Amino acid sequence: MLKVTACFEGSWLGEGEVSVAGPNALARARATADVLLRRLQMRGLRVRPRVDLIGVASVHDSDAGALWRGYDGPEPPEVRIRLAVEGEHRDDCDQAAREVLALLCCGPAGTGGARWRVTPRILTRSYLVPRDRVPVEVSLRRAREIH
Amino acid sequence: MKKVPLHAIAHSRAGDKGNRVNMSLIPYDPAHYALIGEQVTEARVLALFAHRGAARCTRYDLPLLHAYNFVVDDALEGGVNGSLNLDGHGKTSSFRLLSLEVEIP
Repeated sequence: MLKVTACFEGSWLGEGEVSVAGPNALARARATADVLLRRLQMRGLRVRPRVDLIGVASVHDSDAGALWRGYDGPEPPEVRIRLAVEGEHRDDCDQAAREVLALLCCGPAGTGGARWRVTPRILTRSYLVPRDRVPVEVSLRRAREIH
Repeated sequence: MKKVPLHAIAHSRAGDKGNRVNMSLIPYDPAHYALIGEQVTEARVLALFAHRGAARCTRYDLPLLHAYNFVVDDALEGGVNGSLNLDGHGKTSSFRLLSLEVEIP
């Protein structure tokens, strides 16, 4: 048997980020995170969300934000709030990521530096395939033949 | 005896395979190999990834290299292509391991 990694299209990643800094930054970051998650729910967007508080807990955290929700260390001078969503529908991911833009004039005080983007995702799965089902052929072509 | 983070006495590097994270743990001084073996158990390492729903941890001992390898299953909330984490590969996991405290003479 051979191990085969199969790739599938059909999923989108939406990401939106915004910063807070200065007095009470952590509490404002937490409030911003909760506002974002609640807004996605209220709008009924078909996405799976996650929020990171970059500068408090992000890469070591879980999708549920166990580490930033439980954080009780020193007050950070700045926090970048990152919303990440995944879904099958590009427009839903785009609209979810754009929620960070609305925070520039609504929501918790003093947010700035909003950026958002949507990118396609390739999902992979591993399979075992019988060796005789995988045709193997080697052919050599000169660069001149290709161009 | 004093308590230090593993970072003070060991090196680690992490990588992924599917929804698994794989971490080496290599003491700088071979004399620390045995105490790491006693204190850095599969259960303690699994607990570091419990918040992500990790299912099990297996430790592979490499006494001739005075090194360990930890494999944690279901630790990446989907793995590199499905995860929403900025670090989908779990490369930074090595320093979560190195934050564990151990007692040294």
